[in-house]
Amino acid sequence: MRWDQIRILHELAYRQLAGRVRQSLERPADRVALAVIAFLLTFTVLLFNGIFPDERFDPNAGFARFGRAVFGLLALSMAGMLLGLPMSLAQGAGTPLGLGPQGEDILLPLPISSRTLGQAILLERLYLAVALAGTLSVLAVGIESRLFLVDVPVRFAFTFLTSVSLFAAPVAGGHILRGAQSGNPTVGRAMEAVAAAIMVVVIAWVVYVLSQGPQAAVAAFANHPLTKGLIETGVLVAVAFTGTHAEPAAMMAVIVLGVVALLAVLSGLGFPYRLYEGEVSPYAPQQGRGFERESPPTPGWLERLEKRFHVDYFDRGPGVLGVSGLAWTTGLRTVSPVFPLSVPLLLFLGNILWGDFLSRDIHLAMLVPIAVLGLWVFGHTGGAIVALQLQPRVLTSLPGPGKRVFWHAFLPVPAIGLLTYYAALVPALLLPGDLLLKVLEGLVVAPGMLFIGYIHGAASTVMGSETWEHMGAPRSAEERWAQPPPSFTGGVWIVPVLVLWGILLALVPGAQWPVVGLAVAAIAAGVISLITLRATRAAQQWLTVPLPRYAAR
Amino acid sequence: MLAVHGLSKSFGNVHALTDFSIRVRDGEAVGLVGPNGAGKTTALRCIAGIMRPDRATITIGGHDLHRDPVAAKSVLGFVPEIPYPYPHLTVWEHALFIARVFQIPGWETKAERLLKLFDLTEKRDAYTAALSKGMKQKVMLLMAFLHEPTVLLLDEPLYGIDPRGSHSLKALVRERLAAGASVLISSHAMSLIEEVCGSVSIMTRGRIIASGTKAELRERAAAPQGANLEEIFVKLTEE
Repeated sequence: MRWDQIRILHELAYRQLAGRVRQSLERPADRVALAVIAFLLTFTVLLFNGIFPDERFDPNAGFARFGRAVFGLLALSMAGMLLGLPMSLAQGAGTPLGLGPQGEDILLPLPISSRTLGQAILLERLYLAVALAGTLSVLAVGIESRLFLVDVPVRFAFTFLTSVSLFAAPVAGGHILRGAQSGNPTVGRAMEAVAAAIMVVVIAWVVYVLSQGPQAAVAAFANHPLTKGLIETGVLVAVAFTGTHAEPAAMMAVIVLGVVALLAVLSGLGFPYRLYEGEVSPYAPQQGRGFERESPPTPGWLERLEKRFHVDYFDRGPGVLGVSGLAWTTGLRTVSPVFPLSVPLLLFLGNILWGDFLSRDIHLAMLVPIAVLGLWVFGHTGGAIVALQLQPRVLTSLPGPGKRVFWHAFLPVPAIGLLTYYAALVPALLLPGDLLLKVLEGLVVAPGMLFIGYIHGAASTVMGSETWEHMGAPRSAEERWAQPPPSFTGGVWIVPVLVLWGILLALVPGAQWPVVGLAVAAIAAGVISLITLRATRAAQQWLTVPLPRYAAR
Repeated sequence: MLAVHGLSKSFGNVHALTDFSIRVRDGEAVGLVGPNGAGKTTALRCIAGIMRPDRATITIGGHDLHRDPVAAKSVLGFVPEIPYPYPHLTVWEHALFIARVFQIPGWETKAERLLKLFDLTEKRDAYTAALSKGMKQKVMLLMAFLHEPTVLLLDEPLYGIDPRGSHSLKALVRERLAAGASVLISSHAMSLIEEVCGSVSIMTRGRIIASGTKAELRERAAAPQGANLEEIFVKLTEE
């Protein structure tokens, strides 16, 4: 009887989780974003793991490892964020079982004893702890072993399996959870069985390590087809944080950037850090402080889009309009896929100076961050433009000639994006190394980033309008603060970051001319950003003066 | 039958309930009224077993809540003051959950009927997070009535409810009364109390200061013959 009740409670929890997942993926744009995850995983992970396995591409090189880490983290973070899983586990669901919407207790007097309730919660926590312990143990093993695969075919197979399994995980999970939705009474037992299986695997692993000795166990684990890829990811994450940094300045750079990155990750996962508290994600409208959905009567989609256009591209100003083009600004302002992207990127910026990336493929490593930023911005604004172009009334309904708004406001953004891309490309091409390989890499990275940016730009433009509609216009100073902020300060900080990065690069002991060149490029990009920022802000002020009707709502 | 004797509850130095006692017989509905902060909600939460009293003897349907809470709660229906349905469950899943917990045979038919009564049929597959507060309250009512409890505790049951829902709720309460259930309703809606409840208990500052039928309370308040419950309440709580 007690176990039956526990299963009922667990089923309640899983149903809630399923509901959250379904709600997270309710909108087509969310599903599109999930498709982006699949794209990122299958495309880029394969790329970085030797889709071109010849002597010119070393899958163990820093660049390839970095690529795997970047896109693995990106995809995983996006998947988790889109599915709402971290939020379910961390907040909003009350107990781990989600039994109390207020996070206290069951609010209904159910005929279930408190002991049974406690056991159900304990069991679920145990399952979660075991799952977490399993993940951490794999990570620890990776750090300890520092083993990397060298056999390209095996690597290729692992990469493929890893990609497929990672891609399949959200889909399979969705089906499992939909099973819960179907009212199948065996679902509770099935989920318990899954959790029990995880426990068995972890316990077996511990026993194996104890019986074989750590070294042998690590080697076996690292070389086992089912675990190699996972170990690599763990190693890469660990190395990205710790690296092989001997100099205090390098440590500082890594620590500072790491903290920023960590905050970004945690925010992306739904932790309400103050920096991002109240920000509303187009992917999670209820995140942050949240407002009651007591919006005014729902206007049409077009009108909402107009509002969004105004809010994002005028109220928020160049934070989105212009400089956000330099990438993660928008990501930080709206918990977006750019969040996880910014994380490995920032880590990389620190690690590139003194880390494992000072290898023969440094030219590629240096190409990536700037090019990614430029391309992302280009794609992002392109997507936004297309989304708006699909509804031309948005432009024409604005005071003054809509085209004037379009050209004055939007044109500089993709231009800056492309400019940044080429600014990164040129020094990279000038660096010593295989020209063909560099071009190849550039060609491969470009469409990926363009695609991401495009999807995000279009999706955030459209979905943001829905967010705005859900929330209604800010009715107080506090709400206005919590709304996508009207200031453009978010766009400003990219400037010192770029300049600081350039200075750090310039200060590298014994820096060769390529590094100095990159430093100059970074500083120049910062200055260009600042100029663009000021210019777009001036344009924004000029354009928004006759637009009080939205702001006053 | 519902019997509460000597219920006391304190929050630090604040005595929310002091020696609160009430008895609701089978087939009887009792109204619990009082000013804001009188302790009505605290009393109902203690009786429902979701808040631990400092001391009390509470019997629900013949089961001692302290000694046999599962049996006591199995015959209890409760509508909390503020509706908090599970935000990520659909309306129908709420019914399913309750049906499984209370092991209700033939629950689908009963749930369908309640959905219809509360105009929730179209919202059957909607997540409650997306419902209005009135709709959420209807979901809570559905959950409270689905297992046909023999003891009902309703805390501001008309919260956000439209007139049709109000009408359905009163009909359901009468139906439960006819089946021999004991109903305790806490509400500021005096019309609901007058319409449904045979007797009323008035409480202030954690104590019941007057109980009885409307006529008995009128007499105690020395109110004029035509005074309604609201006027009687005002007079009694002025003292």
